[in-house]
Amino acid sequence: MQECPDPISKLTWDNALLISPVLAKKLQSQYPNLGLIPEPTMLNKNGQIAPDAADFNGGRQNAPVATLSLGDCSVDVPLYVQPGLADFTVVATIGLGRSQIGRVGQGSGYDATQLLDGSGAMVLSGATLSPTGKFKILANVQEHWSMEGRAIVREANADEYVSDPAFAAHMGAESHSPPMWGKDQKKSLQEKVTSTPRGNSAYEHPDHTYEKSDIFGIHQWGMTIDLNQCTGCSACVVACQSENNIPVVGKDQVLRGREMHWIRLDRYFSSPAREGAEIPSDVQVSFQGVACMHCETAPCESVCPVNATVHDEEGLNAMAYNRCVGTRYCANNCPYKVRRFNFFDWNKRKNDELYQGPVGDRNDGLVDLGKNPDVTVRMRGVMEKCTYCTQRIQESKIKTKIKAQQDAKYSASSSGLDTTLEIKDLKVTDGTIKTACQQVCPSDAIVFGDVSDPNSEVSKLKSNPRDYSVLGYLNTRPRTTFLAKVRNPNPKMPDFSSSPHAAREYHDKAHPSHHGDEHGANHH
Amino acid sequence: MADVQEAHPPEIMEKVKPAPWKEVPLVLNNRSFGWVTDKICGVVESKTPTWWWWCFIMALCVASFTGMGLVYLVSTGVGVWGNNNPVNWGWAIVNFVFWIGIGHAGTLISAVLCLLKQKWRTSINRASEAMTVFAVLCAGIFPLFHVGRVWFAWWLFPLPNANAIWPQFRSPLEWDVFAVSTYATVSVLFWYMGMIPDMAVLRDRAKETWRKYFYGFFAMGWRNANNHWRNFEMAYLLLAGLSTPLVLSVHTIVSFDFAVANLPGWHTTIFPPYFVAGAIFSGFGMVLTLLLPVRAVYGLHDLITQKHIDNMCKITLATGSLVGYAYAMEFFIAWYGANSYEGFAFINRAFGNYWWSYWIMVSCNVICPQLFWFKKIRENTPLVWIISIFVNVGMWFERFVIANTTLSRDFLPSSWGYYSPTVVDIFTFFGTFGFFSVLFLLFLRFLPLMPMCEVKSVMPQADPHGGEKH
Repeated sequence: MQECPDPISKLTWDNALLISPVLAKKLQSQYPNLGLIPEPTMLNKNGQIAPDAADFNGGRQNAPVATLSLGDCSVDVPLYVQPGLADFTVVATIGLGRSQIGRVGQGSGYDATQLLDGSGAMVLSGATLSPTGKFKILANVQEHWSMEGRAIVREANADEYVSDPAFAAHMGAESHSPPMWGKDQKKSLQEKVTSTPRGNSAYEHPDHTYEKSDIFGIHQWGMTIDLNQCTGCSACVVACQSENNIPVVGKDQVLRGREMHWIRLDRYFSSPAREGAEIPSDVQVSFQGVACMHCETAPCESVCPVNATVHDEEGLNAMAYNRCVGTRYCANNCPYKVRRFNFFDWNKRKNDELYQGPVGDRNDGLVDLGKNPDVTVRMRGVMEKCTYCTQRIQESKIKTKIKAQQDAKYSASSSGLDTTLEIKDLKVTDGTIKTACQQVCPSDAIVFGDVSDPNSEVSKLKSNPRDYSVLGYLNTRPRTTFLAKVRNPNPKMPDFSSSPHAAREYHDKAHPSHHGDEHGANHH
Repeated sequence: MADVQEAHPPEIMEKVKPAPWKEVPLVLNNRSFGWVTDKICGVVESKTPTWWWWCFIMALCVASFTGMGLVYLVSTGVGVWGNNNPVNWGWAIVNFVFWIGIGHAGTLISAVLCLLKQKWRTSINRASEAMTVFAVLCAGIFPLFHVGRVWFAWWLFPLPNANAIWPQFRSPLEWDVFAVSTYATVSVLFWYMGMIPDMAVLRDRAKETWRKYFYGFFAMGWRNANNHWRNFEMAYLLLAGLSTPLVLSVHTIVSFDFAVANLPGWHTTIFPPYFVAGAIFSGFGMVLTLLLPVRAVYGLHDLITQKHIDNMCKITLATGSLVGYAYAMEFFIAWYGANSYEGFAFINRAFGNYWWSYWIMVSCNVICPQLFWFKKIRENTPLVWIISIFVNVGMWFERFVIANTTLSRDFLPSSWGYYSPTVVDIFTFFGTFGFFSVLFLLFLRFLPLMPMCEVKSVMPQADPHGGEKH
């Protein structure tokens, strides 16, 4: 849990005092050495060109430590500028900074409970902040908070959705590039996943259609993630971690950008207008869970020199740990950056002795007992990533097959005929398999199933006009697609905008000729 | 045809009166064949100079950094380097491309210039070929050891095995395996074969027994016979022909590591020619860096003349300008292609979080070599040497810029990250210079640093017409 990022601040291992951008600016003007507001580099001093202002300097968040005093109590806290926080408000979270705790909790965070006056009130006023001149490095898993006008999380307001339900299809580079499936674009999803050849490869691929192949996968797995329903709770991240034996790597390694989560929750802020290099005060937040997309034409597969990542007949982008030598080319070539590399023997060594190599201490056996016995534990030097919980898929397939055999035997014994199994008997009933992330999602945002079955829930969702592929123009044909987000803001509210900020940022960038405020009104 | 022209020179010739063509001799001071032999063999036969020992021991110490870095790396994990999730290739691949690029000048000098009958190549080709071989050895370390499980790296070779699993021939890394191993093999062959007659000379002059055996073994029974020379020259020509496509192919394939990937800033068709030009550029930079001190130390001014330096400077200038053109063209295409990801990748290169590396690259690779337009500068040997160092630095940064700016900020801003090397990265790379120097010093000490036979063949004395113009 320490390594599960906070959904909004994306901090791991520590809590920080979230302060509003206006307060940050004020503090920065009083204490110029704080470094609260990222320094813009080169051309973005006057605006648009380089997006460094939305980044932490050097990829690490070097947070200034200040003393937060309230009444008689004071506590030293690292400051974190939180876009969207009301001016001159600070937010402290409780639960961290414990004094009596084991190895894992030591030194993480500060204890904000000291500030509570015992009355039970969680909202207090009259606090003061004074910088101590010290700094604390915070391990933030997302260094960049802006979507930079890219059509990654696609959004519209409700009335825009009503007038154009397929608004998501009209965004992104693929909206004005040749269709992803070429002449097969108009075919049904089921036809596409079962009969469209995988790319224009010079190599002959086995024809895995029902008619031509003995080994044809009788299912074709796919997933949808509904961005409308995602609340950013991060339960999927934790569930995946425990299901798939994903190692916890520790603060130091998170700082080096080596967190191992197979599914991560991207959080973007978008603002009514980005004023050059400033952190905006008034923002909208967009969440997006990103795991391996199981692309049909996966860029990772074609670059692996040893065939360690390959496609299986049911559409899974499979990872053969045993075959992986660890060139990491696949991770480079993954446009979604979902592949995770075992830089160390995370599972074998204690987190604080990783750098001691073979002379470091081994993890105690207790950790091993927490592992899921159905999932391989990976050694150092191999790549790993989301498998769509292939162990659960296999388990269900085996159970379905056993049941089908029993039924067939039963009917054979009653009718006196030989037993035969038909494909329809071997098909796993829709909804039987739930991936770990899907199982825990409290808002049912994640749906997994067989896309070759037109009646499965996932197929139905994929035919929703809101359905879109992230970076679809790359023609990766991801099996995980997203349902675009629809906001329904109250027009009477002062922060009402006729179009979501993320959509405005995209349209401003994609169609720079239409500038200005009238822009938000109508895009299509 | 020639007779006709001689009989009727064009009338214009009377008016313009062209200045007589001044052919600068390739060996100065009208030296004799014997002098050349004594000079080159003397380097090997003389007592080991003290400076050599100092340099050698220092180079060994530096080389040990690479050794220690690799031991730590293999025993502990790739995590000891600075690589992280968006930047999965850090210095290792940068260093690989850097070293492999350096090798290119050697092949160009020995093969392409041989086929083009550029006589001035003779006094620099042996050392450049040695540089090529050693640079390829240094380069090979990185792709081999950057993998997570180096003990399985042999899986990249198409060996028949019980699992019936083959390497994946669609992967540019797999192409690298073939490109680089071919390149290394042909370079070693070419280098060694050219040395055979010189080895025989050293064998025949040898006084100590070990020398007789050592050079005798490698001279492969060379007796200076007519048919030996005939075979030698034919084989040399064939190998030159074989190596010529390698000058283009190796760095083309290395560039595919990037160009075949789909990342903005990598996925461009300009990469192969741009990489080849850059490789030749960096190679000539390194040849100058190495040969100018060698020339000074061994007093080879009559053999490596100002003309040689001039020519190398001009090639550096030409390829440096080509590289500069490629940088500009990348920006143009990124804008013209109107892909916002691509456009961002290039703006980010120049003005993003690694802006400093981009401007180091531009100033070293594009601006610095422009000084070679001036004769005064080409004739100022120390300055040429300094500029050649800048070229090397610039080309390392070019690879750094290409590899890191793209990886650190690609498609999804949520996954952007910043890469910085660790001490282990730095020491491992630094150590390869020691490794390279160890090999080069051994080469200087034990092998003929110039092809005596070829140098003699371009001297006026070798001309049966005694320098008369016909």
